[in-house]
Amino acid sequence: MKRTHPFIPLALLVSVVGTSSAQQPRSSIPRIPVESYQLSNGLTVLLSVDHSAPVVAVDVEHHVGSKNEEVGRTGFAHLFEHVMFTGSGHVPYGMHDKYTEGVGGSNNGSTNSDKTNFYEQVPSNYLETEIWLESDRMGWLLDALDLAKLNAQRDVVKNERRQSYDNRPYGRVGEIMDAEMYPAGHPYHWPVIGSMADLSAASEADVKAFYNKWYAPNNAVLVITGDFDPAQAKAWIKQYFGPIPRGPAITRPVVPAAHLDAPKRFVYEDHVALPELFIEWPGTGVQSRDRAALSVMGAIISGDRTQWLTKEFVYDRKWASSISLRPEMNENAGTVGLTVVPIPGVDLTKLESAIDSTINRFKAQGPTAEEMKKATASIEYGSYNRLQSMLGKAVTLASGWIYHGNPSWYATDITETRAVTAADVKRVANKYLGPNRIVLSAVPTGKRELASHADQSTPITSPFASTEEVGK
Amino acid sequence: MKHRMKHRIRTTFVALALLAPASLIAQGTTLDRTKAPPVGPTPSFKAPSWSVDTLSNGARLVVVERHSLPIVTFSIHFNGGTNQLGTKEGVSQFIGAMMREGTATRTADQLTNQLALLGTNVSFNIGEESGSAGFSSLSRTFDATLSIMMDMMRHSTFPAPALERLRTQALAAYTRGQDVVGVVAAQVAPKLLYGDQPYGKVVDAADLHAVTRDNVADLAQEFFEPANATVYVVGDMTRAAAKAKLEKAFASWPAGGHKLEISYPAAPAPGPTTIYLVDMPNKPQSQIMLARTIPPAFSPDMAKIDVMDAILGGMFQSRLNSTIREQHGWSYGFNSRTLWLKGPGSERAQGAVTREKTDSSLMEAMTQIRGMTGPIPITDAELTAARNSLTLSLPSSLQSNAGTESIVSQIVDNNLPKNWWSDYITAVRGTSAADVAAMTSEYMNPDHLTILIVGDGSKITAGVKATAIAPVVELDKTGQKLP
Repeated sequence: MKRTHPFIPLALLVSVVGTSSAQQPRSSIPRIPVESYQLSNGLTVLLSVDHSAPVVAVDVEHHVGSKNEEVGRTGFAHLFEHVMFTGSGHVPYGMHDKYTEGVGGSNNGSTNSDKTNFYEQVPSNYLETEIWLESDRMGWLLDALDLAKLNAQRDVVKNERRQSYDNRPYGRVGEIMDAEMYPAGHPYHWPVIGSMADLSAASEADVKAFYNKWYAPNNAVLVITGDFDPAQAKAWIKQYFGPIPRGPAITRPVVPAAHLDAPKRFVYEDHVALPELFIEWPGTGVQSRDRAALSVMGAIISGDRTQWLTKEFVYDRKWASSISLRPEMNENAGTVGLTVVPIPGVDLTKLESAIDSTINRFKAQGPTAEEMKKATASIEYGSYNRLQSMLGKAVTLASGWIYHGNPSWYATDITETRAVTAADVKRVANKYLGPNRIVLSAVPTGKRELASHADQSTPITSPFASTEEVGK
Repeated sequence: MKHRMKHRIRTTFVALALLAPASLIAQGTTLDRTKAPPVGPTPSFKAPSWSVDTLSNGARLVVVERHSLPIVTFSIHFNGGTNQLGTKEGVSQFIGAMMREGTATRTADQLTNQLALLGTNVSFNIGEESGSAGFSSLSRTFDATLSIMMDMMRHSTFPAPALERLRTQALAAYTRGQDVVGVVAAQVAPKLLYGDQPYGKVVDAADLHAVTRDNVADLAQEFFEPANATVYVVGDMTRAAAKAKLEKAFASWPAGGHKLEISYPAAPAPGPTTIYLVDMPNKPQSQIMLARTIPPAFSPDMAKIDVMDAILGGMFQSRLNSTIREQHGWSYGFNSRTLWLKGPGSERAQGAVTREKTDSSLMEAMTQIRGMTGPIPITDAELTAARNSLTLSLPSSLQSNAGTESIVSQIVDNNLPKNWWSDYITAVRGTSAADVAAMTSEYMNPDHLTILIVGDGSKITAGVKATAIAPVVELDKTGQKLP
């Protein structure tokens, strides 16, 4: 068997690594070998060989997410992800677990606002098995659609909503923020998990329409990474995926940028013991030219004990257990979010005002050279860490293809991150951390007076939560 | 996500599978999509080899050489923990953070920045039965990182104001946890399972209030001694180089401490099945846990218990998850886990279920547990899946230094025979349906279970009582019986 040189992960090449000489030259960006091609039905294939362990990862990603849902059917893309595990034309229910977990591997899927993926990691002698399983649900899902299983998964997803949003303290804050940041009808207005009412309304006809529209090979990418023979893999891919017909041409929705005409201020009562404060600004998506500078800004303004907000509020004033400010970037639009977990008894109005002072100081001064060096190193380190596992590599390649049409986009990202200057960071801080923003105080039920600027805060609840109960 | 990631805290379970694949299909034949494709040969097993030396200060040195990447994982394991030392409750949870607060010659900010520029982090931790200190670095930054780590281990200043800051944060986190059904269940369960044993203690707010700066400093001084230490160097470093570097770095860490003679308590004998109920109003889901204590890790039944756990709730396709989640849709996931300890461990099956289906879920869980004792026979398919998932569960751990270290240290730390892993794999593969039924009867006997339910009492209590599964005892969130 041919041995290829394994991709060298970790921050081997992060420029600042060294004992005391900080003058080392920037090293080259490591390249993952990747072969890409398309089948005649439009399926994009990415192959990356690494024989360092007898493992393969298979990742099938569809360029569809919650932003492609119809009004009244929120949560459907994610519910559909669950339906993809209920069996297909030639593969009975249970086979995906039998041939992953049951042979010492694993499988799962995930859905976000922009894409949906399905993945397996297995001993490499099971590669053909995974290709068989994945091709069958891409090509023949509707041949075995089982209403009872659809209904069971609908209930499972409702429990996922209860567990991860409704039953979790502050669990609904994210969906309240998005609903206020993006106007009704905007594709990012609603949460990926959807509303209870819409989950109840999803029908068999919805499943068929969604599948036919979005799950065609011409809207998908298949990635295989790890220990395999590419010639053999290509033969199998052609054999199993080749016969799946191309679907209709894809029309993607128009997604306006996040925008606020004026500041908004809310108080949200929840079953929590202590208040928390959330601030969100309109930001930008992953395709924006400001993306890299915003990421660096996020890695400087909060984080370890030497960084601006963390130093001021966790270590010096001791007003918070934690504080973080990070850009949240979707494919077409995004936000910048601040979350602070205050120490009990700290006044939120005073806290908000002091946070603003620190942010204003940052906007005026910008970061130091030392801060820039640490931040870019940590971002680069994080990129390399994601490339260490077969699966992490597969998802990175697929995301690059889906969002940027370039599987090796991680390398572009590192190049752009290295090119960010302190002036860039200062510029985006001033551009994005402006006065038009949403401030939300989450407070214990009945304690609205604990909100920041309580007298100016409008009470709010989640438009997606429901008091619906399951009949006995 | 289809399901949430399982957080398995098994004592480092990985199986070793190395194989040459290259299965070829017959080209040109008609594809029969109804049949699973043929697969290549079954993996064979090969454990990494390691060397053992004794350093001048008495610590053991274990080296596993892996030169494919210029990375080294360094870790010192200390035998014995707070349960054996009788440490005051709550002290150990501040160790990791307090050792980042500065040394005699480095401020906390300097430590943070120096480690960040080395691209690494040093961690210290003291648990109930053992502790550790370590980092992962490039081979070429190993010396610099080790030097900082030794400074932290030997010369931390444990400033009192830092403890006050961390205490305030810990108390706030404790308060926040009281809103979460899963957290409340996790803090009540040990008391029910272990009673007054150290294993039954859970840190509470009063404990957090009582910790002093000197408690933390004294524990660090008592604990991080060579007498109970085994040092692991895994990665791009030879045995000779590791030994030379450590002798040099440990010049400031002389022989000290006394070898702990450790004895572990036996698990308390389980009583008749009892349902304990904790009221948390307005919760749309209830946390249900069904648990039992089990023997210590490496007991003769270990492999058989692991197979039982996989079939009961350890796998996605296990009985509890495939019924309560997949068939009924009452939960996002209902799983079980075996927590192996050197002392008495536990087997816990649990999940968050729809409030209105609390009683139904409990009845289904009991049906499945009782079924495993005989009424619902264990199938060959279940046995195969469980055996494979335990033993073929990925050579992926051997890809990394940390995974390799966990495989080797499991043997060395616990003084197990060198071929322990292959014996374990043989034992798993030899576990029969009758064994699984016997293990369930012995260790998850439906007549001797601790059942804990945390949820909206006003909505679920009547239904739970009506199941007539067992008497219901109502508790507060600290596990105290309500009058």
